[in-house]
Amino acid sequence: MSDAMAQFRDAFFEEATELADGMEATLLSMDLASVEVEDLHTLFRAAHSIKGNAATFGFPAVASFTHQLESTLEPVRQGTRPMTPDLRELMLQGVDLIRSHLHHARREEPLPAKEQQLQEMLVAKLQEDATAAPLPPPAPDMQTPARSVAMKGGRGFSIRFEAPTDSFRRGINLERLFRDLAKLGTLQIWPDLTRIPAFEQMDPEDCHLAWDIRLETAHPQIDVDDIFEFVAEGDNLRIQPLSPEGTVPTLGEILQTEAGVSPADIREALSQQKRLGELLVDMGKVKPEAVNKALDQQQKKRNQAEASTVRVATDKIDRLVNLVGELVITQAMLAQASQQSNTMQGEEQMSAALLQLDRQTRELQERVMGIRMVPVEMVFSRFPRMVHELGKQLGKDVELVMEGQATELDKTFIEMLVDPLTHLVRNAVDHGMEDKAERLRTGKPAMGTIALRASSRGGHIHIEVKDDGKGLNRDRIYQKALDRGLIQPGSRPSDEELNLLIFEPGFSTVEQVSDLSGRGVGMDVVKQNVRALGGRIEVESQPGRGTLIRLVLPLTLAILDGLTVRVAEETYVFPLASVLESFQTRGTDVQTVKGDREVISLRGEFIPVVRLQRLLTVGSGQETSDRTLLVLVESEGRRAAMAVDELLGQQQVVIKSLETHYRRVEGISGATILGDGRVALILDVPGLMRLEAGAAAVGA
Amino acid sequence: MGRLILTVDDSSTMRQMITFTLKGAGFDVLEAGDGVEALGVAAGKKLDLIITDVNMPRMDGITLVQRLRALPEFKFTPILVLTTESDASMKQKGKEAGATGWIVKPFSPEKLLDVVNKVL
Repeated sequence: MSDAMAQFRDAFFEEATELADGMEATLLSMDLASVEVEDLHTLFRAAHSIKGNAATFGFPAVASFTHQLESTLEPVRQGTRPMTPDLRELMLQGVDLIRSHLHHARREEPLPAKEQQLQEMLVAKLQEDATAAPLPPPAPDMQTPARSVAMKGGRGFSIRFEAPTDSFRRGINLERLFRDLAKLGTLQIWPDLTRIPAFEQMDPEDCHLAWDIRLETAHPQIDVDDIFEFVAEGDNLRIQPLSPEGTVPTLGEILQTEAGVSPADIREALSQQKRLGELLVDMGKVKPEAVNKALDQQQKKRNQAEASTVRVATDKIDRLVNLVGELVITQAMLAQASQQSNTMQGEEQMSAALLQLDRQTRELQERVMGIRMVPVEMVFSRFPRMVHELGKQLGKDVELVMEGQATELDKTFIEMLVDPLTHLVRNAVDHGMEDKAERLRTGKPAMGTIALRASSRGGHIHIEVKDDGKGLNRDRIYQKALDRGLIQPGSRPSDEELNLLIFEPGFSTVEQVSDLSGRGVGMDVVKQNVRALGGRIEVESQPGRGTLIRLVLPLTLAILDGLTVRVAEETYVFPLASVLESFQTRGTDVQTVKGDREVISLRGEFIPVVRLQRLLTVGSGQETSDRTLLVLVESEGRRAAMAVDELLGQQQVVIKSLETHYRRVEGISGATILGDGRVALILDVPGLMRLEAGAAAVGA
Repeated sequence: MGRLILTVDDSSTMRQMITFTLKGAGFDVLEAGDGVEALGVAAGKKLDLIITDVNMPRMDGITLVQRLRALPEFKFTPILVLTTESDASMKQKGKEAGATGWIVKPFSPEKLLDVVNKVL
C-alpha cells in the first residue's frame, strides 16, 4: 500500500470513530416518544458512510458488520419499523462493536473471538427482532407498494422514465442509465417516441425521449433510485414493483414479457376500455344516477369490510404482552405460595401475589378496552380539506381550527360519527356562516372560524362543532316547527328546546336537503347516530355570535349512563339518553281512554302512560297509591310516560349482554351488576313501547 | 488515452484527495483553485468531466457552471457540483445552472468514483 493511501487510512479511522461517536450521541439524545426523522437519517448516513469507507479502504469485516446496522436502520428511517427502546439498546451495542472493530482493524488484528460471538448474537437479535415485531400495516396513504420492496428487494420493477427536457444541456449521459440498470438484472426496454414533437417544432437540444422499462432484479429499489438520482424530477419517474412471486400476473404483464407488447400500448388500450357502468349507461339499460348510487353502495360495503378490523399501535400490544408476562410470574408466585400456605411466609407471599394479581387484572382490563380506542383524529383529518373546498364553493373564507385530535374514542364511535360530523361541519359552513359581505357589515372579520374540538370529561367524550356565524334564528325555528306540527300552537318551548328542534326528523327544509343532496344525511341522522351511541346533543347559540353544537358521548359502548328506578321489588335502569324528565302526578291526572289505555296530558299533549309493574309482570300489579311517579321517555320520535315506584339515582353502569347468558327479552336491552352485587336489567325504551302497543292491541 | 477531468476547489487538501482518487482510477486530472482560474485552465481543452466546489472566492461554482454552459465546447460536458447535505437547495440551483449531477460532502473516494462513473 502506498504512503498516500496509508494517510487516507488514518483519515478513515478518524472519520469512522467520529461517525460512531455521532451515532452514539444521536441514539442517546433521541426522544423515543417523538423521534426526529432527521436523527434517523443521520444514524443511517453514519452507518452508510462507515460501511462505504471501510469497504474502500479494505476492512471487509467492519463493512459487513456496519452493513447489518445499516439495513436495520433502513426500515426505521423509512418509518416502517419503530425505534423502540430495545432497538436503541441493540444499536448502542452495535456502536460499541464498531469501535472495537476499528480498534483492532487499526492494529491489523482480527476481532477477538469473544467479540466475534457478541457480534453474532447481536446480528441474530437484530434480524429476529425485525421478524418478531412486525409493524401494523401502514395506513393506505403511507403505503406505497414500492416502499416495502425498497428494503427487501422483490422480483423487480416496472419503470416509466421520461428524460428531463434539459438532459442534453445538462450533459447527462442517458445511455449510462441503461448500462447501470442492466448491471442490476435483466432489462426489457420499450422506447416511447410519442413525445417527440413535429420536426419543424423541434429544438434539437431538447430531450423528448421516454422509456418503459421492465427490470427483473433482486436488488432493492434504493439501488434503482440511485441510478436515476440526477434525472428524477418528481413525476417523470415512476418505479413500481412487479407483482410478487406467487401472485397471478396481470394479462398486461404476461403480454409484455411474452409478446413484447409495450406498456404504453397497454395503457392506451386500457384507457379505451370502458367501465361496466359506462357501458350499461350507453346501452340505455341504466341511468347514470343509479350507477353512482351503486358505486357509493359498493364503497360503503368496502368501508364496512375494512371497519371490521382494528389497527392497534404496536406499543399497546407490547404493553399487553408485558402484562401477560407479569401475570405468568404472579401465577407462579401463587402456585408456590399455595404449597407452603400453612407457613407464615407462605401466607405473606400469597397476599402479596393476590395484591399483584388484583393490580394486573385491573390494568389488563383497562388496556384491553384501550385496544378499541382510536384517536378522534381519524375522523377529524378529513375536515380541513372539506372545509376548504366548501368555503371555495360557497365563496366564504373559512378557517378550521381543530383541538384535541389525540382524544381517544371507541372505534365503533369513530365510524358512526363520520356522517353526523360531516353534516354538522357542512351545515356550519353552509348555513351557520354568513357570507363575506354580511360579516364585514356586522363588524366581524371576513374570515369565519369553525372550531372542531374533542375532549374527555368525567367519563364522557365531548365533541364540539362551533362556528362564529349568525347563530340560530329561533323565531324561524319556532315558526317552522309549528308549520310541521312538531310543537303545539300556544306552547312556549325554552331556547334550549327550540335549538334542539333542528335535529328533529322532518325539520330539515327542502332547501337544506338539496344543499347536501347525494349524502342522504339530514340533521335527524345526527341525532339518530348520537342516540344509538348512547350520547346526547347540546346546542348553544347566540344570535349574531355563532352556534356551538356539542355531542356528549359515553367513553365506550360498554358503559351506559343510566337512571336507576325501582319497580315493585326490582331495580331497572333507563338509559339516561332516552329520559326527558320525571315528575310526580296525582292519580286523577291520568285519564283512561279506549277502555284500559291510560294517557296523561302534558303541556297540551296527550302521552300514553305505561305501567311498568304490569308490563314487566313484577309486583302485585296493583298500584294503590294515588300519586304516580312518571318517567317521560322518548324514542324514535315517540314519547311515553313510564310509571315507576321510586327513582334511585343516576349512575354509570357496565352493560352485560343478556343474550349471551340467557336469551333475548323484548323490552330489555341488557343487564348490569349494581354496586351491591345485585343484577339490574337495563330497559330498552323502544322495545317497551312496542310491547305496550302489542299488549294494548291484545287487550282491545 | 486517459480521460481528462478538471477539478475546481479552493481547498488544496480537497483537490489533492480528488486528484489522488481519480488518478488512482486511471483518469488524467487538471486542477483549479476557483471559477476564474477554472475558465482559464479549461479554455481550448477537451474536457470529459468537470467537478467543482460551490463556495469559492472570485467566482463560485454555480456561476462557473453557467459560464461553461454558455461556451459551445462545454455545452454538453458533464459537470458535477460538490454540495453539502445541509444545503439541499444547492442541488436544485446546480441543476438550474446546468449541472449534470452532484456529490454530497463529505464523500468517500468510493462514492466519488461511483458518481463519476455514473455521468461519464
